[in-house]
Amino acid sequence: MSKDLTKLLDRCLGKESPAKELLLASLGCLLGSVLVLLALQTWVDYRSLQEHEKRGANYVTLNKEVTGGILHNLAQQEKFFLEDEVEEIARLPGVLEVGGFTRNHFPVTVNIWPAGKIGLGSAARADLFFESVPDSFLDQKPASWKWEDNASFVPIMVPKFYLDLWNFGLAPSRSEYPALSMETASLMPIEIFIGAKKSVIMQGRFVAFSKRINSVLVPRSFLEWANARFAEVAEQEYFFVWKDDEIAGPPVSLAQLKKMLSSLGNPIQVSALATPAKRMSVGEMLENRPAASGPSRLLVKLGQSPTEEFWAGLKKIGCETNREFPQNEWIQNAVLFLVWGLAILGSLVSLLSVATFASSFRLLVVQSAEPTRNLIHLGFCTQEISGIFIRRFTHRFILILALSLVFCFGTRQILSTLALKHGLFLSSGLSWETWVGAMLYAWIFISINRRVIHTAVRSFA
Amino acid sequence: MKIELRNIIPAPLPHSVVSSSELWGKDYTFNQGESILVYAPSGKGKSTLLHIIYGLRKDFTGELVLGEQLSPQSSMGAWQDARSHKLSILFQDMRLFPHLSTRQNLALLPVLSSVIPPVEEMCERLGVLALLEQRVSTLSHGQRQRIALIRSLCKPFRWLLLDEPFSHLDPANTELAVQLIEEIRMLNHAGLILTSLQEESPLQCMHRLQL
Repeated sequence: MSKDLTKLLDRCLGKESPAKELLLASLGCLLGSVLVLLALQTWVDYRSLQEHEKRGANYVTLNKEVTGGILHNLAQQEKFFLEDEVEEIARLPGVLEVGGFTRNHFPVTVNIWPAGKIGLGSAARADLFFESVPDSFLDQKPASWKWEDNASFVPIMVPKFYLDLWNFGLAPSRSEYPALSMETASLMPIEIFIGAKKSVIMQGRFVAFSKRINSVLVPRSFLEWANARFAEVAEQEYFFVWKDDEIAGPPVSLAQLKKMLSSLGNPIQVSALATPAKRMSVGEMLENRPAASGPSRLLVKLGQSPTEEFWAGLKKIGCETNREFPQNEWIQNAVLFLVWGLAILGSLVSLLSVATFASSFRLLVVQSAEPTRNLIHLGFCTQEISGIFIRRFTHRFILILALSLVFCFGTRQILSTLALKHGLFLSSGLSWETWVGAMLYAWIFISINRRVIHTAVRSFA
Repeated sequence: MKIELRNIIPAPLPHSVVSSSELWGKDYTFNQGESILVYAPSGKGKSTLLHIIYGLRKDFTGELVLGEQLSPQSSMGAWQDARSHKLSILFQDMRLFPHLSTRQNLALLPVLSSVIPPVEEMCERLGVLALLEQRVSTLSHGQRQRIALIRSLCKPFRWLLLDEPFSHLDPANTELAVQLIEEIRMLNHAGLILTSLQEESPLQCMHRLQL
């Protein structure tokens, strides 16, 4: 059909329309589509924020709770997780993976040379510890993160906030220590002294700065090798020494006890600080002394924010976490409620507007009954005639949908600006899901009204 | 394309009308190119006959076949095709679009015949050329009838159905209209069914049937 004939048909079918009904239907459609699209966009944003949280935040370090005074804790064996406890934690809701920290069993002292060369300027000296975790828990793993037997170089990974503490805490207060970027810090040579007498010296360097794990990490292969080679027996355990059925003097360490044993002989009786009345010979004590095994800390990967059940499980085992989580279960429920509320309300309003549109256009066709019938009698196809009405409807609907999208876009821009102030980043513009949703919405809306119009026109044939 | 009417009786017609008719309740075949005058006083079913043949009414008994297979049971598409290419009708009430101009009314056809003279020429011959840009609502009945006649001639057709086409025309304009109808009918090699109140018609027809 030529363009001129289409124009003529349009004129022939008249423009008189049920203006009030169409205005009402248009407003309903606008409101409905805005609500539906906003619901969809809000859902997408919420999922995106949830994914972001899952990717970056849900790692938690667990350790056994430490309570009591110095004397009490001197008497305690090292706190560690038993195999059963690790398994129990792994079964807690939301736990995806559990990994144990391995710690060093030998003294470590390091010299860090901020000037970039050993012997140049002042070194920062510190007694340190090393730990290792399974590589799957690392948030970054540079190529240099490896250690082979007997290699003298040890890669070290420290928390990013250590560097921040250096830059914003230590360096400003000490003129000999410059502030360091990550690149500069990675170039600082580190001397590692192993053993109480610093008998072994190795070289090290910071190869990465973790934002996930708060520990000084070295490759597990190095730590296992070093523990096997340099581990020292725990000499710091304290005991009461008994003489003449009385506790004689303050508690003595295991190292002191060994010296006393060689000078006084075996008859010495001792008791642990925790059970002072339970006397035994030194030989018995050494035999029965339980050896620490199992990890002292655990790293747990969570698939969701911790639930009440998770916290209760940890409390039962007697461990604590290194961080707090926002109680966002209710936030999730609130968002779900909001999204579903918007979607249901939007769908209802949309359904109403579909019905109003359909009846308005049916009325429009009925009002044009005479010319419609005459055109059919002249030989025009019903599709050609209904096409005129459908085109009028589609133009109006596209305008409404465009306005809805503009409104949604504006609302989202405002919301994302507000979200940014609260530390939540939302990408700009509408998501592809919203665009697809809008297309689907348009398809449903247009299909229903096309059908209604076509049926109305056919009734005159 | 022939038109076969077999024992057709329109539902609303009284029995007395049907029994006295030469056509209702009888079998007739109108062959391609024939011209038939159907005459009767008002209320005997002249317009009804044309509407039945044009496929607008199905409230009758009997059988109607157009060409090989077009019947009231045929699809809407088949009837639309027939109305745009094979049948043309001039309604008694003309059915023009009053809010459009004459030219627009004459252009508002699904298919324009390729064998006819230009619209302007036909309008000139019937004395309505000056009315081409005028709104139809402003025209007299006689002028409207001539415009409606030209519109019915502008379509391609095998059968031309004219429902009292000269009812509002004076003898001079009737003569002009008869000449144009005959000329265009010949160009289309088409048949003609003409209804009239009188037995005599300005158009010469091969058959006369009283309803």
